[in-house]
Amino acid sequence: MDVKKYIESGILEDYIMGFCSKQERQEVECLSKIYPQIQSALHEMQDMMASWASGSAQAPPEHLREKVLKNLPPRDMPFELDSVEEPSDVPPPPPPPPAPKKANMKVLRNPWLYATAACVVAIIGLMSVYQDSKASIEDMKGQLTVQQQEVNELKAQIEDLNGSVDDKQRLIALLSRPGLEKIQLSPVKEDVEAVATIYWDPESGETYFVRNQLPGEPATSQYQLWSIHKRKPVSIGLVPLREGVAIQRLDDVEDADAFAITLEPIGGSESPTMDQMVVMGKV
Amino acid sequence: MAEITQIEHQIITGLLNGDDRSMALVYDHYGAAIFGLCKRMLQDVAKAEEAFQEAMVKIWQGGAGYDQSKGRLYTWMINITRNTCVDHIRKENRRVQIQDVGDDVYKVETHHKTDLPVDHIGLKKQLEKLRKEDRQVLELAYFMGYTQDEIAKELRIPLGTVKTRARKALNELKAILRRDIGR
Repeated sequence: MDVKKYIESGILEDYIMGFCSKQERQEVECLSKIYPQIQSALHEMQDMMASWASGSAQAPPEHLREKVLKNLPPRDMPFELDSVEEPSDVPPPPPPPPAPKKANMKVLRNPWLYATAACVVAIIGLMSVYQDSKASIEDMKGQLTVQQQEVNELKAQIEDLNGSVDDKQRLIALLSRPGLEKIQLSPVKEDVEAVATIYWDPESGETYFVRNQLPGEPATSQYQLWSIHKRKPVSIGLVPLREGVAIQRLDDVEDADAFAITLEPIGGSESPTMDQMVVMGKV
Repeated sequence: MAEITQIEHQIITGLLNGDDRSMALVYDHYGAAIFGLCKRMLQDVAKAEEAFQEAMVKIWQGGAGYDQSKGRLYTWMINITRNTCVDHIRKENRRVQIQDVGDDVYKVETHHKTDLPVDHIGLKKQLEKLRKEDRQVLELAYFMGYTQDEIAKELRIPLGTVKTRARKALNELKAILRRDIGR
Protein backbone atom coordinates (compact mmCIF):
# COMPACT_ATOMS: atom_id res chain seq x y z
CA MET A 1 0.00 0.00 0.00
CA ASP A 2 1.25 3.47 -0.89
CA VAL A 3 0.88 5.15 2.50
CA LYS A 4 2.04 8.52 1.23
CA LYS A 5 -0.62 8.59 -1.45
CA TYR A 6 -3.22 7.51 1.03
CA ILE A 7 -2.33 10.36 3.36
CA GLU A 8 -2.30 12.82 0.47
CA SER A 9 -5.65 11.63 -0.82
CA GLY A 10 -7.47 13.88 1.65
CA ILE A 11 -9.25 11.08 3.43
CA LEU A 12 -7.67 12.01 6.77
CA GLU A 13 -8.89 15.60 6.48
CA ASP A 14 -12.35 14.27 5.67
CA TYR A 15 -12.14 12.06 8.72
CA ILE A 16 -11.24 14.95 11.01
CA MET A 17 -14.09 17.04 9.65
CA GLY A 18 -16.62 14.21 9.91
CA PHE A 19 -17.15 14.01 6.15
CA CYS A 20 -16.42 10.29 5.96
CA SER A 21 -18.92 7.54 5.61
CA LYS A 22 -18.99 4.96 8.36
CA GLN A 23 -17.05 2.57 6.17
CA GLU A 24 -14.40 5.16 5.37
CA ARG A 25 -14.14 6.05 9.02
CA GLN A 26 -13.54 2.44 9.97
CA GLU A 27 -11.01 2.21 7.19
CA VAL A 28 -9.04 5.20 8.49
CA GLU A 29 -9.12 3.88 12.05
CA CYS A 30 -7.99 0.47 10.96
CA LEU A 31 -5.19 1.69 8.69
CA SER A 32 -3.95 4.12 11.31
CA LYS A 33 -3.40 1.15 13.60
CA ILE A 34 -1.46 -0.66 10.90
CA TYR A 35 0.60 2.20 9.49
CA PRO A 36 2.35 4.51 12.00
CA GLN A 37 2.69 7.20 9.32
CA ILE A 38 -1.06 7.36 8.89
CA GLN A 39 -1.60 7.46 12.63
CA SER A 40 0.98 10.20 12.97
CA ALA A 41 -0.59 12.30 10.20
CA LEU A 42 -4.00 11.83 11.74
CA HIS A 43 -2.84 12.77 15.22
CA GLU A 44 -1.07 15.82 13.89
CA MET A 45 -4.30 17.21 12.48
CA GLN A 46 -6.32 16.16 15.50
CA ASP A 47 -3.84 17.90 17.77
CA MET A 48 -4.10 20.99 15.62
CA MET A 49 -7.88 21.10 15.82
CA ALA A 50 -7.86 20.30 19.53
CA SER A 51 -5.50 23.19 20.12
CA TRP A 52 -7.77 25.39 18.10
CA ALA A 53 -10.61 24.25 20.34
CA SER A 54 -8.66 25.40 23.38
CA GLY A 55 -9.05 28.89 22.04
CA SER A 56 -12.56 28.97 23.42
CA ALA A 57 -11.60 27.71 26.88
CA GLN A 58 -13.90 28.94 29.58
CA ALA A 59 -13.91 27.87 33.21
CA PRO A 60 -16.99 25.79 34.04
CA PRO A 61 -19.39 27.14 36.68
CA GLU A 62 -18.23 26.53 40.26
CA HIS A 63 -21.08 24.21 41.19
CA LEU A 64 -20.17 21.76 38.45
CA ARG A 65 -16.94 20.57 40.01
CA GLU A 66 -18.55 18.74 42.90
CA LYS A 67 -21.46 17.59 40.78
CA VAL A 68 -19.17 16.02 38.20
CA LEU A 69 -16.58 14.50 40.51
CA LYS A 70 -19.05 13.07 43.00
CA ASN A 71 -21.26 11.53 40.37
CA LEU A 72 -18.76 9.47 38.46
CA PRO A 73 -20.26 6.03 37.84
CA PRO A 74 -18.43 2.93 39.05
CA ARG A 75 -15.87 1.62 36.64
CA ASP A 76 -17.07 -1.96 36.69
CA MET A 77 -20.08 -1.07 34.56
CA PRO A 78 -19.69 -2.36 31.01
CA PHE A 79 -18.72 0.39 28.68
CA GLU A 80 -18.25 0.44 24.96
CA LEU A 81 -15.03 2.28 24.34
CA ASP A 82 -15.76 2.95 20.72
CA SER A 83 -18.75 5.01 21.70
CA VAL A 84 -16.49 7.73 23.02
CA GLU A 85 -14.36 7.87 19.92
CA GLU A 86 -16.94 8.91 17.37
CA PRO A 87 -20.33 10.61 17.30
CA SER A 88 -23.09 8.06 17.51
CA ASP A 89 -25.03 9.77 14.79
CA VAL A 90 -23.17 9.05 11.59
CA PRO A 91 -23.33 11.83 9.03
CA PRO A 92 -24.56 10.88 5.58
CA PRO A 93 -21.85 9.49 3.32
CA PRO A 94 -20.11 12.08 1.18
CA PRO A 95 -20.23 11.90 -2.60
CA PRO A 96 -17.46 9.96 -4.34
CA PRO A 97 -14.13 11.78 -4.77
CA PRO A 98 -13.32 13.50 -8.07
CA ALA A 99 -12.83 11.15 -10.99
CA PRO A 100 -9.02 11.31 -11.34
CA LYS A 101 -8.54 10.22 -7.75
CA LYS A 102 -11.28 7.66 -7.77
CA ALA A 103 -9.33 4.89 -9.44
CA ASN A 104 -6.37 5.59 -7.25
CA MET A 105 -8.43 5.44 -4.06
CA LYS A 106 -10.05 2.26 -5.18
CA VAL A 107 -6.69 0.55 -5.06
CA LEU A 108 -5.60 2.28 -1.91
CA ARG A 109 -8.70 1.33 0.01
CA ASN A 110 -8.48 -2.28 -0.88
CA PRO A 111 -8.15 -3.60 2.71
CA TRP A 112 -11.59 -2.33 3.52
CA LEU A 113 -12.99 -3.35 0.22
CA TYR A 114 -11.76 -6.82 1.07
CA ALA A 115 -13.26 -6.54 4.54
CA THR A 116 -16.55 -5.36 3.09
CA ALA A 117 -16.43 -8.08 0.47
CA ALA A 118 -15.76 -10.60 3.23
CA CYS A 119 -18.79 -9.33 5.15
CA VAL A 120 -20.92 -9.48 2.02
CA VAL A 121 -19.72 -13.02 1.38
CA ALA A 122 -20.44 -13.92 5.01
CA ILE A 123 -23.92 -12.44 4.77
CA ILE A 124 -24.55 -14.23 1.49
CA GLY A 125 -23.28 -17.41 3.14
CA LEU A 126 -25.61 -16.95 6.09
CA MET A 127 -28.47 -16.16 3.77
CA SER A 128 -27.63 -19.28 1.79
CA VAL A 129 -27.61 -21.37 5.00
CA TYR A 130 -30.87 -19.74 5.98
CA GLN A 131 -32.34 -20.44 2.54
CA ASP A 132 -31.05 -24.01 2.67
CA SER A 133 -32.54 -24.50 6.13
CA LYS A 134 -35.76 -22.94 4.93
CA ALA A 135 -35.73 -25.22 1.89
CA SER A 136 -35.00 -28.23 4.13
CA ILE A 137 -37.89 -27.33 6.39
CA GLU A 138 -40.12 -26.93 3.34
CA ASP A 139 -38.91 -30.31 2.07
CA MET A 140 -39.60 -31.91 5.44
CA LYS A 141 -43.03 -30.29 5.49
CA GLY A 142 -43.65 -31.70 2.02
CA GLN A 143 -42.45 -35.14 3.12
CA LEU A 144 -44.66 -34.97 6.18
CA THR A 145 -47.64 -34.11 4.00
CA VAL A 146 -46.86 -37.02 1.68
CA GLN A 147 -46.43 -39.35 4.65
CA GLN A 148 -49.66 -38.07 6.15
CA GLN A 149 -51.39 -38.83 2.86
CA GLU A 150 -49.88 -42.30 2.86
CA VAL A 151 -51.08 -42.85 6.44
CA ASN A 152 -54.55 -41.71 5.43
CA GLU A 153 -54.51 -44.04 2.44
CA LEU A 154 -53.41 -46.93 4.65
CA LYS A 155 -56.15 -46.07 7.12
CA ALA A 156 -58.66 -46.09 4.27
CA GLN A 157 -57.31 -49.42 3.07
CA ILE A 158 -57.61 -50.86 6.59
CA GLU A 159 -61.14 -49.53 6.78
CA ASP A 160 -61.83 -51.07 3.38
CA LEU A 161 -60.31 -54.34 4.52
CA ASN A 162 -62.37 -54.23 7.68
CA GLY A 163 -65.38 -53.46 5.52
CA SER A 164 -64.62 -56.32 3.19
CA VAL A 165 -64.20 -58.65 6.18
CA ASP A 166 -67.62 -57.50 7.37
CA ASP A 167 -69.01 -58.00 3.86
CA LYS A 168 -67.53 -61.47 3.67
CA GLN A 169 -68.92 -62.37 7.08
CA ARG A 170 -72.30 -61.11 5.95
CA LEU A 171 -71.88 -63.01 2.71
CA ILE A 172 -71.04 -66.21 4.62
CA ALA A 173 -74.03 -65.64 6.87
CA LEU A 174 -76.21 -65.11 3.77
CA LEU A 175 -74.92 -68.16 2.01
CA SER A 176 -75.52 -70.24 5.10
CA ARG A 177 -79.18 -69.15 5.28
CA PRO A 178 -81.61 -71.87 4.31
CA GLY A 179 -83.89 -71.12 1.35
CA LEU A 180 -81.49 -68.64 -0.31
CA GLU A 181 -81.07 -69.11 -4.03
CA LYS A 182 -77.85 -68.22 -5.79
CA ILE A 183 -78.30 -66.93 -9.31
CA GLN A 184 -75.10 -66.53 -11.32
CA LEU A 185 -75.28 -63.73 -13.87
CA SER A 186 -73.23 -64.34 -17.00
CA PRO A 187 -72.24 -62.09 -19.88
CA VAL A 188 -74.73 -61.78 -22.70
CA LYS A 189 -72.01 -60.93 -25.17
CA GLU A 190 -69.24 -63.36 -25.79
CA ASP A 191 -66.45 -60.82 -25.92
CA VAL A 192 -67.20 -59.37 -22.51
CA GLU A 193 -65.78 -60.87 -19.36
CA ALA A 194 -68.21 -60.25 -16.55
CA VAL A 195 -69.50 -62.14 -13.55
CA ALA A 196 -72.01 -61.12 -10.87
CA THR A 197 -74.18 -63.00 -8.39
CA ILE A 198 -77.69 -62.46 -7.06
CA TYR A 199 -78.79 -64.07 -3.81
CA TRP A 200 -82.57 -64.19 -3.56
CA ASP A 201 -84.89 -65.58 -0.92
CA PRO A 202 -88.18 -66.29 -2.74
CA GLU A 203 -90.06 -66.56 0.54
CA SER A 204 -89.01 -63.30 2.13
CA GLY A 205 -88.21 -61.54 -1.13
CA GLU A 206 -84.79 -60.40 0.19
CA THR A 207 -82.38 -59.92 -2.67
CA TYR A 208 -78.61 -59.30 -2.52
CA PHE A 209 -76.13 -58.46 -5.19
CA VAL A 210 -72.46 -59.45 -5.22
CA ARG A 211 -70.27 -57.69 -7.73
CA ASN A 212 -67.77 -60.37 -8.53
CA GLN A 213 -66.32 -58.97 -11.70
CA LEU A 214 -68.00 -56.30 -13.71
CA PRO A 215 -66.13 -54.07 -16.15
CA GLY A 216 -65.62 -50.50 -14.99
CA GLU A 217 -68.52 -48.26 -15.85
CA PRO A 218 -68.04 -45.52 -18.46
CA ALA A 219 -67.97 -42.06 -16.88
CA THR A 220 -71.54 -41.28 -17.90
CA SER A 221 -73.07 -44.67 -17.10
CA GLN A 222 -74.13 -46.72 -14.10
CA TYR A 223 -75.04 -50.35 -13.68
CA GLN A 224 -78.72 -50.96 -13.01
CA LEU A 225 -80.18 -54.25 -11.74
CA TRP A 226 -83.41 -55.72 -12.95
CA SER A 227 -85.64 -58.56 -11.92
CA ILE A 228 -87.56 -60.06 -14.79
CA HIS A 229 -90.85 -61.75 -14.27
CA LYS A 230 -92.94 -62.90 -17.19
CA ARG A 231 -90.70 -60.85 -19.47
CA LYS A 232 -91.40 -57.74 -17.52
CA PRO A 233 -88.30 -56.04 -16.11
CA VAL A 234 -88.51 -54.25 -12.80
CA SER A 235 -85.69 -52.06 -11.53
CA ILE A 236 -84.42 -53.37 -8.23
CA GLY A 237 -81.50 -51.03 -7.71
CA LEU A 238 -78.44 -49.21 -9.01
CA VAL A 239 -74.91 -50.39 -8.40
CA PRO A 240 -73.15 -47.68 -6.47
CA LEU A 241 -70.46 -45.93 -8.48
CA ARG A 242 -68.01 -46.43 -5.68
CA GLU A 243 -66.05 -49.55 -6.23
CA GLY A 244 -65.33 -52.08 -3.55
CA VAL A 245 -68.84 -52.79 -2.38
CA ALA A 246 -68.84 -56.54 -2.18
CA ILE A 247 -72.45 -57.08 -1.27
CA GLN A 248 -75.46 -54.89 -1.72
CA ARG A 249 -79.05 -55.33 -0.67
CA LEU A 250 -81.52 -54.70 -3.45
CA ASP A 251 -85.24 -54.08 -3.44
CA ASP A 252 -87.25 -57.09 -2.37
CA VAL A 253 -88.37 -59.27 -5.24
CA GLU A 254 -91.56 -61.27 -4.90
CA ASP A 255 -91.42 -63.14 -8.18
CA ALA A 256 -88.61 -63.45 -10.68
CA ASP A 257 -87.74 -65.60 -13.64
CA ALA A 258 -84.42 -63.99 -14.22
CA PHE A 259 -82.13 -61.17 -13.10
CA ALA A 260 -80.12 -58.88 -15.36
CA ILE A 261 -77.78 -55.93 -15.23
CA THR A 262 -77.69 -53.20 -17.85
CA LEU A 263 -75.54 -50.12 -18.31
CA GLU A 264 -77.77 -47.06 -18.05
CA PRO A 265 -77.23 -43.34 -17.84
CA ILE A 266 -76.22 -42.25 -14.35
CA GLY A 267 -79.28 -42.33 -12.14
CA GLY A 268 -80.82 -45.22 -14.00
CA SER A 269 -83.67 -45.66 -16.47
CA GLU A 270 -87.28 -46.63 -16.14
CA SER A 271 -86.80 -49.53 -18.50
CA PRO A 272 -83.62 -51.37 -19.39
CA THR A 273 -81.69 -50.52 -22.51
CA MET A 274 -81.58 -53.98 -23.96
CA ASP A 275 -78.50 -53.57 -26.10
CA GLN A 276 -76.63 -52.42 -23.01
CA MET A 277 -77.33 -55.56 -21.07
CA VAL A 278 -74.07 -56.84 -19.60
CA VAL A 279 -75.01 -59.94 -17.64
CA MET A 280 -78.11 -62.01 -17.08
CA GLY A 281 -79.01 -65.15 -15.13
CA LYS A 282 -82.07 -67.27 -14.96
CA VAL A 283 -83.56 -68.42 -11.69
CA MET B 1 4.85 12.31 19.36
CA ALA B 2 5.47 14.97 21.93
CA GLU B 3 6.57 13.92 25.37
CA ILE B 4 3.99 13.36 28.03
CA THR B 5 3.92 16.04 30.70
CA GLN B 6 3.91 15.20 34.38
CA ILE B 7 0.23 16.02 34.73
CA GLU B 8 -0.68 13.91 31.69
CA HIS B 9 1.27 11.01 33.14
CA GLN B 10 -0.54 11.30 36.47
CA ILE B 11 -3.90 11.47 34.80
CA ILE B 12 -3.25 8.55 32.45
CA THR B 13 -2.00 6.37 35.30
CA GLY B 14 -5.00 7.27 37.43
CA LEU B 15 -7.46 6.63 34.60
CA LEU B 16 -5.92 3.26 33.84
CA ASN B 17 -5.99 2.28 37.51
CA GLY B 18 -9.52 3.48 38.07
CA ASP B 19 -8.38 6.16 40.52
CA ASP B 20 -11.10 8.81 40.44
CA ARG B 21 -8.70 11.45 41.74
CA SER B 22 -7.39 11.53 38.19
CA MET B 23 -10.68 13.14 37.18
CA ALA B 24 -10.05 15.98 39.58
CA LEU B 25 -6.81 16.58 37.73
CA VAL B 26 -8.65 16.43 34.41
CA TYR B 27 -11.17 18.89 35.73
CA ASP B 28 -8.60 21.31 37.05
CA HIS B 29 -6.23 21.19 34.08
CA TYR B 30 -8.54 20.62 31.13
CA GLY B 31 -12.00 21.47 32.45
CA ALA B 32 -11.95 24.95 30.96
CA ALA B 33 -10.99 23.71 27.49
CA ILE B 34 -13.63 20.98 27.66
CA PHE B 35 -16.38 23.21 28.98
CA GLY B 36 -15.39 26.02 26.62
CA LEU B 37 -15.72 23.68 23.66
CA CYS B 38 -19.16 22.59 24.88
CA LYS B 39 -20.24 26.19 25.22
CA ARG B 40 -18.84 27.09 21.84
CA MET B 41 -20.56 24.20 20.10
CA LEU B 42 -23.90 24.29 21.89
CA GLN B 43 -24.12 28.05 22.49
CA ASP B 44 -26.17 27.51 25.61
CA VAL B 45 -24.87 27.30 29.18
CA ALA B 46 -27.38 24.70 30.41
CA LYS B 47 -26.77 22.48 27.37
CA ALA B 48 -23.06 23.00 27.71
CA GLU B 49 -23.16 21.92 31.37
CA GLU B 50 -25.07 18.81 30.44
CA ALA B 51 -22.67 17.89 27.64
CA PHE B 52 -19.70 18.72 29.84
CA GLN B 53 -20.83 16.28 32.54
CA GLU B 54 -21.52 13.64 29.94
CA ALA B 55 -18.09 14.09 28.37
CA MET B 56 -16.40 13.87 31.78
CA VAL B 57 -18.14 10.57 32.47
CA LYS B 58 -17.06 9.28 29.06
CA ILE B 59 -13.48 10.31 29.75
CA TRP B 60 -13.60 8.52 33.11
CA GLN B 61 -15.09 5.37 31.64
CA GLY B 62 -13.10 5.39 28.42
CA GLY B 63 -9.91 6.15 30.32
CA ALA B 64 -9.70 2.51 31.38
CA GLY B 65 -8.73 1.67 27.81
CA TYR B 66 -6.73 4.77 26.93
CA ASP B 67 -3.35 4.36 25.32
CA GLN B 68 -1.13 6.59 23.28
CA SER B 69 -2.31 5.05 20.04
CA LYS B 70 -5.47 7.07 20.58
CA GLY B 71 -3.44 10.25 20.41
CA ARG B 72 -2.42 12.83 22.94
CA LEU B 73 -4.48 12.78 26.13
CA TYR B 74 -5.73 16.30 25.60
CA THR B 75 -6.67 15.62 21.98
CA TRP B 76 -8.38 12.40 22.94
CA MET B 77 -10.46 14.22 25.55
CA ILE B 78 -11.32 16.99 23.12
CA ASN B 79 -12.39 14.40 20.56
CA ILE B 80 -14.69 12.83 23.14
CA THR B 81 -16.10 16.20 24.06
CA ARG B 82 -16.62 17.26 20.48
CA ASN B 83 -18.38 14.03 19.60
CA THR B 84 -20.60 14.33 22.65
CA CYS B 85 -21.60 17.82 21.53
CA VAL B 86 -22.17 16.64 17.94
CA ASP B 87 -24.50 13.99 19.33
CA HIS B 88 -26.41 16.65 21.25
CA ILE B 89 -26.66 18.90 18.23
CA ARG B 90 -27.92 16.11 15.97
CA LYS B 91 -30.23 14.66 18.59
CA GLU B 92 -31.95 17.97 19.02
CA ASN B 93 -31.70 18.78 15.35
CA ARG B 94 -30.52 22.15 16.52
CA ARG B 95 -28.20 24.45 14.76
CA VAL B 96 -26.70 27.53 16.21
CA GLN B 97 -26.57 30.52 13.99
CA ILE B 98 -23.41 30.80 12.01
CA GLN B 99 -21.25 33.46 13.47
CA ASP B 100 -18.22 35.07 12.15
CA VAL B 101 -15.14 33.89 13.93
CA GLY B 102 -13.95 36.72 16.09
CA ASP B 103 -10.78 37.13 18.03
CA ASP B 104 -12.53 36.42 21.30
CA VAL B 105 -12.45 32.68 20.58
CA TYR B 106 -8.72 32.65 20.96
CA LYS B 107 -8.64 33.74 24.57
CA VAL B 108 -6.83 31.05 26.46
CA GLU B 109 -6.22 30.90 30.16
CA THR B 110 -2.53 30.78 30.78
CA HIS B 111 -2.35 27.55 32.73
CA HIS B 112 -3.94 25.54 29.92
CA LYS B 113 -1.25 26.51 27.54
CA THR B 114 1.41 24.16 28.86
CA ASP B 115 -0.56 20.98 28.16
CA LEU B 116 -1.68 21.77 24.66
CA PRO B 117 -0.26 19.63 21.86
CA VAL B 118 0.11 22.66 19.60
CA ASP B 119 1.27 26.10 20.57
CA HIS B 120 -2.05 27.89 20.58
CA ILE B 121 -0.53 31.34 20.23
CA GLY B 122 1.23 30.26 17.08
CA LEU B 123 -1.91 28.56 15.91
CA LYS B 124 -3.94 31.68 16.48
CA LYS B 125 -1.63 33.63 14.23
CA GLN B 126 -1.77 30.99 11.55
CA LEU B 127 -5.54 30.79 11.66
CA GLU B 128 -5.67 34.45 10.84
CA LYS B 129 -3.71 33.72 7.70
CA LEU B 130 -6.30 31.34 6.36
CA ARG B 131 -8.87 32.55 3.90
CA LYS B 132 -12.03 33.38 5.75
CA GLU B 133 -14.18 31.10 3.59
CA ASP B 134 -11.82 28.17 4.10
CA ARG B 135 -11.70 28.72 7.84
CA GLN B 136 -15.47 28.98 7.93
CA VAL B 137 -15.83 25.46 6.55
CA LEU B 138 -13.58 24.14 9.31
CA GLU B 139 -15.58 26.06 11.88
CA LEU B 140 -18.90 24.70 10.69
CA ALA B 141 -17.71 21.13 10.40
CA TYR B 142 -15.55 20.85 13.45
CA PHE B 143 -17.12 23.23 15.94
CA MET B 144 -20.74 23.25 14.81
CA GLY B 145 -21.05 19.61 13.83
CA TYR B 146 -22.36 20.42 10.36
CA THR B 147 -22.31 17.65 7.79
CA GLN B 148 -20.84 18.19 4.36
CA ASP B 149 -24.33 18.50 2.88
CA GLU B 150 -25.43 21.01 5.46
CA ILE B 151 -22.38 23.17 4.87
CA ALA B 152 -22.96 23.09 1.12
CA LYS B 153 -26.54 24.24 1.62
CA GLU B 154 -25.71 26.80 4.26
CA LEU B 155 -22.93 28.42 2.27
CA ARG B 156 -24.56 27.71 -1.09
CA ILE B 157 -21.49 26.11 -2.53
CA PRO B 158 -21.08 22.80 -4.38
CA LEU B 159 -20.66 19.71 -2.24
CA GLY B 160 -17.17 19.05 -3.60
CA THR B 161 -16.08 22.58 -2.75
CA VAL B 162 -16.80 21.91 0.91
CA LYS B 163 -14.26 19.13 0.99
CA THR B 164 -11.78 21.03 -1.12
CA ARG B 165 -11.87 24.01 1.19
CA ALA B 166 -11.59 21.91 4.33
CA ARG B 167 -8.66 19.92 2.98
CA LYS B 168 -6.93 23.05 1.73
CA ALA B 169 -7.36 24.85 5.04
CA LEU B 170 -6.14 21.94 7.11
CA ASN B 171 -3.13 21.37 4.90
CA GLU B 172 -2.17 25.02 4.87
CA LEU B 173 -2.45 25.17 8.60
CA LYS B 174 -0.38 22.06 8.97
CA ALA B 175 2.31 23.33 6.62
CA ILE B 176 2.50 26.69 8.34
CA LEU B 177 2.72 25.09 11.77
CA ARG B 178 5.50 22.79 10.65
CA ARG B 179 7.47 25.62 9.15
CA ASP B 180 6.85 28.38 11.65
CA ILE B 181 6.46 26.52 14.91
CA GLY B 182 8.84 23.73 14.16
CA ARG B 183 6.58 20.83 14.85
